[in-house]
Amino acid sequence: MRLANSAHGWGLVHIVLHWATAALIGWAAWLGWTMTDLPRFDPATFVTYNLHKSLGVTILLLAALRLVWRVSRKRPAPPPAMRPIERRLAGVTHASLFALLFLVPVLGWLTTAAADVPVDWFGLVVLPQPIDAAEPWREWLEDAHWLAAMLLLALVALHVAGALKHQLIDGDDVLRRMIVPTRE
Amino acid sequence: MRHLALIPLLLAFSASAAEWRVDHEASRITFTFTQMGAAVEGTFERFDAAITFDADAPEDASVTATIEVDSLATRNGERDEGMKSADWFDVANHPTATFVSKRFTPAGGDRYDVEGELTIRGRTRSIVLPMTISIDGDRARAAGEATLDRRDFGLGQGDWAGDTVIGFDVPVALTIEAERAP
Repeated sequence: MRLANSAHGWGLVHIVLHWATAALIGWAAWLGWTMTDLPRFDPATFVTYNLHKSLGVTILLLAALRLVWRVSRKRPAPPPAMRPIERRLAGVTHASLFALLFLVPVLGWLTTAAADVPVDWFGLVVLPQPIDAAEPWREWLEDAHWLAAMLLLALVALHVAGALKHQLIDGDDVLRRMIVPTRE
Repeated sequence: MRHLALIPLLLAFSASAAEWRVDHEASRITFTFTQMGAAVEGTFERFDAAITFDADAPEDASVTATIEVDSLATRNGERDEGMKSADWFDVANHPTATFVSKRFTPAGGDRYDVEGELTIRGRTRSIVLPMTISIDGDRARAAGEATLDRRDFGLGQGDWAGDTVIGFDVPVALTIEAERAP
């Protein structure tokens, strides 16, 4: 079992980062979806929002780690049977997913800064506020954060559909190699 | 009998020598609290004070300040409304907070310990405000800071009682500028 990627498959580090990001997106999205129904000024609401923000910051950190890992390591080639249009679609989806892994948390961070509510990352580190409090911008940023998150989830759905197509229709090892680290 | 007419004038003159009017543009009351471990600043935008002060006679000095709690502002409208609600300042039942001084004790130079009664949310506590008071002609500047414990005034009821989300200690800073009353 390798930590690093090779020409034959993904290493353990890439696989762990991928599934950790997937789990964090699911959790953060679930909280984001439900927390807006909570009473607006309540201690439990602040704790829930802060957890959502902590998860988002973690996704941002993992995205940065993944980017470094991705550009500095080899990566396996796509299955030879993939048509050029499919490769292009996969490439655009992956690049867009990557961009949104940065954009969604950053927009969230800006939203909470505009509302003058600092992020206390899991109660360990209080993050600096990238912008000064600005109520007029808050709603706009909140909408942008929501839209970007919806786009991210739509792309995740497309990404999952692609993986299922590889597994069930093409019968190749694209899904398997994201689960089992390469040995060579 | 004609001389009697001078009495109010003389009284007014002797009193006005040490009375001051708050310059609202230049005066600020700010408080800082921690929300999820991070400092958040708020202000009270509307307040007034009746100030009598003469550095040569600090024993005669007095301040009665009234703060309109509804003017609370923390750069977040939702938070402002929350802070005005029954669990916090309960503005509906306690629209004003007051400070009434009891004693100005000189603490060297232009420093004074201002002892008085602070009433917030209907609860009164004795506090000591260390103040620096400097006078330049007809202009006076007073600045001071004190840290209050929000629990002393019943701020943060019910689920807010703990300090998980909002801390107990609240540093309050005053900067008051005033003009000598004519």
